[in-house]
Amino acid sequence: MTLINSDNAPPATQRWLAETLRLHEAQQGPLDDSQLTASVAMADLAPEQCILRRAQFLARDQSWLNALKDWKKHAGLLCFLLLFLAFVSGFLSALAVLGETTGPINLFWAITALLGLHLATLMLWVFSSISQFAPGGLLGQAWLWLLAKLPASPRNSLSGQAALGILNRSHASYWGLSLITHSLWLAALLGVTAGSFLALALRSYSFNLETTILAPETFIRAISIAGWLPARFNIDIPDADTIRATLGNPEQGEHIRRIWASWLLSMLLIYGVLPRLLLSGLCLFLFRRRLAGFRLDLKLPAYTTLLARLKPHSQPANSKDQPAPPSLPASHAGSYAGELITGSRQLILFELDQTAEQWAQPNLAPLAKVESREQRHQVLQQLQQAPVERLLIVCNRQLSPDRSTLNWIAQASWYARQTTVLLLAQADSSPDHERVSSWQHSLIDTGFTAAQLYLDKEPAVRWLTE
Amino acid sequence: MSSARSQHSCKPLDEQLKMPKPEHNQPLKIAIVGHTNTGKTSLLRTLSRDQRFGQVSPRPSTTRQVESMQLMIDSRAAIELFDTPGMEDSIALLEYLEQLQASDGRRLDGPERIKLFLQQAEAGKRFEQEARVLRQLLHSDAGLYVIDVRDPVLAKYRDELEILKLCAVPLLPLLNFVRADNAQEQAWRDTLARLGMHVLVRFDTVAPALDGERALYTTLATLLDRHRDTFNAIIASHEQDARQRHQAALTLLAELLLEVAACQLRTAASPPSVLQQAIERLNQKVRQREQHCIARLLTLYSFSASDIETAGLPMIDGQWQEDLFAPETLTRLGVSVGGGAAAGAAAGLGIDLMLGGVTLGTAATLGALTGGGLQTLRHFGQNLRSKLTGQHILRVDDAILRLLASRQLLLIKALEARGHAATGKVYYTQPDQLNLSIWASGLPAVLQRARRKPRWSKGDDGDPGRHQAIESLIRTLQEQLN
Repeated sequence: MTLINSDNAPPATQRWLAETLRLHEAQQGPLDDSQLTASVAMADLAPEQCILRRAQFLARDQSWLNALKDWKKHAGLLCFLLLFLAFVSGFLSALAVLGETTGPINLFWAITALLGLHLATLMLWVFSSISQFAPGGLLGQAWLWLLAKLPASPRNSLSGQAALGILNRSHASYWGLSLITHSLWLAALLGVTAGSFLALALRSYSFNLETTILAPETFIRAISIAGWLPARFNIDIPDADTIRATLGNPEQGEHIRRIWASWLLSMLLIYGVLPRLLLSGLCLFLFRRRLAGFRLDLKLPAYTTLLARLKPHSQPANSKDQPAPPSLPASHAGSYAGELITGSRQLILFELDQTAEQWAQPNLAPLAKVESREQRHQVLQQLQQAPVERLLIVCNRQLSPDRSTLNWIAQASWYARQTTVLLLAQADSSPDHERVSSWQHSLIDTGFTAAQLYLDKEPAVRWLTE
Repeated sequence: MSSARSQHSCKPLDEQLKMPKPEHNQPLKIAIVGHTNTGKTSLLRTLSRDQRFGQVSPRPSTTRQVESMQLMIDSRAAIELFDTPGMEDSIALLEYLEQLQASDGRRLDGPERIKLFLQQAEAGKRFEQEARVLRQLLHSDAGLYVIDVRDPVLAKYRDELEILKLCAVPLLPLLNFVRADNAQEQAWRDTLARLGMHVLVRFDTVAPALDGERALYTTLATLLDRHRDTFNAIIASHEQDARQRHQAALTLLAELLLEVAACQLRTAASPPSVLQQAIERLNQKVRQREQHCIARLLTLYSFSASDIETAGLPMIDGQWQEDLFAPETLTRLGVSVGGGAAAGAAAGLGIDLMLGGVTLGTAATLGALTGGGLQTLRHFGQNLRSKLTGQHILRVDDAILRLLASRQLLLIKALEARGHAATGKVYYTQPDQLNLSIWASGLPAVLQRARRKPRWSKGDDGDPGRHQAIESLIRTLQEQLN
């Protein structure tokens, strides 16, 4: 087992690590990565790389990588153990079938005993692959079950969960479990072959083909059909004469016994070992390819949230603007101290879209509407020439008070002995406490007192007309 | 919703996300300008999905300095948005600008006039704030003129536009608060047309339309044709982000529902106090699980706990306790609480169990549960082991699952429609807004399957069945949203 280093770990290990940490954070809450986000610029990294980099950073003390390594070791050991057991049981079953028999060996009987279960489970594997029942074969499932039963630290079992998650998401688990199933069978069949070879090498057997109802031609055809494949590998198969000589006659010459012994072994190799070897190879290839195709699922909530933080889609830029001065030059409210016509009144509608009729009441002072630049100048000039005793300025309180408005109101107040401001609400106004209070604050800052401010039309008009 | 969005993007996403080659390495600069208190900072918050940017308040002149935010595509700043102080003294400024004369007496065009103004002493005094705006606009590729359409069209706004137009920078009027009752949209459109500004965009900063951002950037692209690729890239990138957030949100909800459905608690059935405690424990677990989901949804959508209506609800462990188990809500869900209570006088325990939101799957309490409703007995006799050991299994009731789904779907909808400038609260527990008819004819098969998988309640353990169940539940939830 090579030591895994977080800096040069293969991408697959890095992804495994990231998935393990995702599961850990889902259970235990987020780990602290503030040092990383402060030090490493994620700018040029692809989204997945950002997450992998973070995982490497969090696992920099090797303990997480050791947990992965341990899990891998456990899984490997379990696999090795099962392979060993499979080989031994194959070996023993071969000895049991051939073993201490004193009489002649029934060839077809022996072949069925040695290869029957293997062929039946191979069928079952094909069937389960189609039907999705125990996908990957029962042996693979057994390995998985045993693996889950092994005692493990929390980190270890998290690594295992992450590994299974990766296998499932990448659709590699089917091929992985199949690989285990076929490898175990391969080991078992190698055990069978080895056991058979040992028995055939060290003991003297005679062979027999027996039948009660079948014709000799059936055997000849069956053996020639079964021999087609071995023939591709230049393996001699018994010819028709040999078969006839063996049929029902266990007393054969040395030559014929040797033919049958090699035929038996070749059957085991070609129909036992070879298919499992090929299938193991195929599963290994597909397993690796699927696994190599695995990428972190960035749609997972954990990763989406993480990426929004590691690779923000907006960030504040350094403001190069000069600091704002504490205040800007502004006019202050005042009052006219000079001479004026007693009883003179003035009503001003400031930026208020109301008609004169709405304000047509007896004794009400002349009305002026102020909005544009020209109106502002004109009304100020008029006041300057003829200051008034009482001035009521009506503002639309739905608008925001701005500097130019406040300046103008302050300037207008210079030409009246007394000035009040009515903050008028339009008929269809929605609640506007905040706007009203900002008007009040601004006007008080400008130099008015709270007593000079009205919120209702009635008292303001009364004040102006009395 | 997400399918409607994906229809827009006919080009492959990779191609759309590819950044156009910038001629210079500077991001595209867009100044956000307007009268004071029209929502410039709010617009920036909404566009950058950052609640903490600048200061937003109903008081005018909150922003006194130019501040900016960069919108990134693939970690590269593509667009820089500048938040400027409000224009406040436009009437006086326009007058001042008109009086400016070049020292050699030649006629000044707009930008020259503005530049000359910026050299004057007044640009640092009376018009300090306006000068900041104009300086920024001059150095920007485009301006967004934010209009509060609830305001009438006044002379000062017209003067403002006159001044801004002098900068000769493409200016796009943006109508804010278009959904308000007193919006005067037509008057504004007419005024803008008279000023020669026929292209404009409607965008509510507090509750932006789902395709509002796309409309905004597309319109900007018509003004800045050379940068069309940048805008397309931003649109594609943001829509991809939105789809991912949506998917992640549904995953969070699916996990919540699956884990609550799979949740089991074994307890002795007597004395009743033991049972009650177990029920309370289970309820508490469900509440905490919901809180966990809410917290993660808020993080996902870049909102904070203060965005959710919590007032008036008692706090438990620093978390607000919702009316998840309130009888009224359950009644509205059509659970047979009332019927059960009326049917059996001895049904006290049964009713408690109903209100506790759990079902009791045992024979022992059958007598006490007469009249407690079929719901309560749904899991009766299901578990042989519980029969043998005399233990009982508590599970969370269907109604609670339906309520959870309905509430969280409402929350997801609300968060997706919420601008990051919004200061009001999200309500997601109002019974009148909840879709209480959700799964009225029965829980989806996948949740029923989860009932038999207690280990699913422990979180993601790599189990392929759980993974498939989540995927299938996400599809079901998406159908509920459509």
